[in-house]
Amino acid sequence: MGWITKKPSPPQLSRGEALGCIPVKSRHVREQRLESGEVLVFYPVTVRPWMAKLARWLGDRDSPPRTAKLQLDHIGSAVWAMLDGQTPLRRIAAAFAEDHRLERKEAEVAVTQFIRELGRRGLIGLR
Amino acid sequence: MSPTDWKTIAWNGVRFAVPGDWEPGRIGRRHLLLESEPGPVMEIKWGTVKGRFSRRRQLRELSRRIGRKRSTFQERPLSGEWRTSLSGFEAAGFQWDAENERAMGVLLYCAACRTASLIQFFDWPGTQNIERNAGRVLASFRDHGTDQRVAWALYDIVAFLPDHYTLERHRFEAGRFVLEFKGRRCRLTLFRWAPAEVLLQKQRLFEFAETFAGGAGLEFRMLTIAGHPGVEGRDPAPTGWMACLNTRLGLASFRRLRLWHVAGRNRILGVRLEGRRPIDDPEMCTVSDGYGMDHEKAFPTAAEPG
Repeated sequence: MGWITKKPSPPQLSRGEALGCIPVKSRHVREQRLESGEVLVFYPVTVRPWMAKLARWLGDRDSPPRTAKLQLDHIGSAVWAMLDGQTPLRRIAAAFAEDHRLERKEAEVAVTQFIRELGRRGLIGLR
Repeated sequence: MSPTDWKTIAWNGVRFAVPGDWEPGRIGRRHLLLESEPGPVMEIKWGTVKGRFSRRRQLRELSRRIGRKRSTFQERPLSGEWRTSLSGFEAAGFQWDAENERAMGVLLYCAACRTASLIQFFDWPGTQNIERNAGRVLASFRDHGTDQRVAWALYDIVAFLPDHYTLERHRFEAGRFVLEFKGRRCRLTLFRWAPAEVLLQKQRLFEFAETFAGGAGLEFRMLTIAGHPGVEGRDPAPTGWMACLNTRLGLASFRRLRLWHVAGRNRILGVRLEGRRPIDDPEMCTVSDGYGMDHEKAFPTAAEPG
């Protein structure tokens, strides 16, 4: 049987520290609450430099920046509503766990995955 | 669950109690890494020993591997508390120190089930009571049962399954747990979804079962399972001589599925059995009765140590 193959290296940012981060919505994001209670988020899309160059070369100099839309489901909309720029991830996850009667760890994973996805799209930043 | 509460973790033959804030960080078939908020706190690996168990050889191997990582490894005599807790095992203590981390642990061998287990506890800055907690964890450690059932308990689910079911695959994702087992006559899948109120907002339980639990084409009926509203689906009985012949020859495939809504915990639990022969009632009842939420299933307290 194989024993310990490697020791877990000390995390760059511990789970506790990561959960202490505060997600802040981007200033460039607009949101619209739909009748269903779900949230529709509009956010600017940055074009890759070579695409922008190509567009300029083709004569497209004055077109406004492209905007993408993201429709959040009920759970996503509830978490989005908690992003007030003051509440740390830990408290958001705890509130989410309480609202849906989830395990703390499971709620943390769900919320951090969602936040990571929003961050990847440039909708939020962490401070 | 608060850090002061203790909970039982059971996985593929071993079980032990841990503080409430220790959560699985990595889950393998015979490996668990538990974490608390500051970082990893405990790691366990176990396996069946073929042939003669040599404690010396295993410790030498461990020392070699750990030494490679610029750590100092040394054997450590067991404290009185640990020795008492581990009286049913052949046990050897060890510890290692690296630049900014430290661990202590024990290598165990149970002659009754021929299982060797390596358990180590990490001492990060910020982890408290590691030695005291370690003693209590080790006191609760068991590596075999006495009733031909294997316990599985991680996060909020608990299952007691007949020991012929061996784990094939597992996935613990936020909102969805899936554990797949291979049994003597059929394959078993255990499901857990959350939050149920959101998942069942736009569909009924049997529709959810059809879509998310591989229940398409099954004939469903309402059922009460462990006091919870549920559904049971099974493949329609074979009709026609060709279908009957296929069944006789073991060429047909049969599914049976149970899903139930644990409203008090906002969860949906499910059991699916698939086999070459029709799934009979006792088989289904054995697994579905043995599966539930952690507050519904109690662990037997009078287990043999070791």
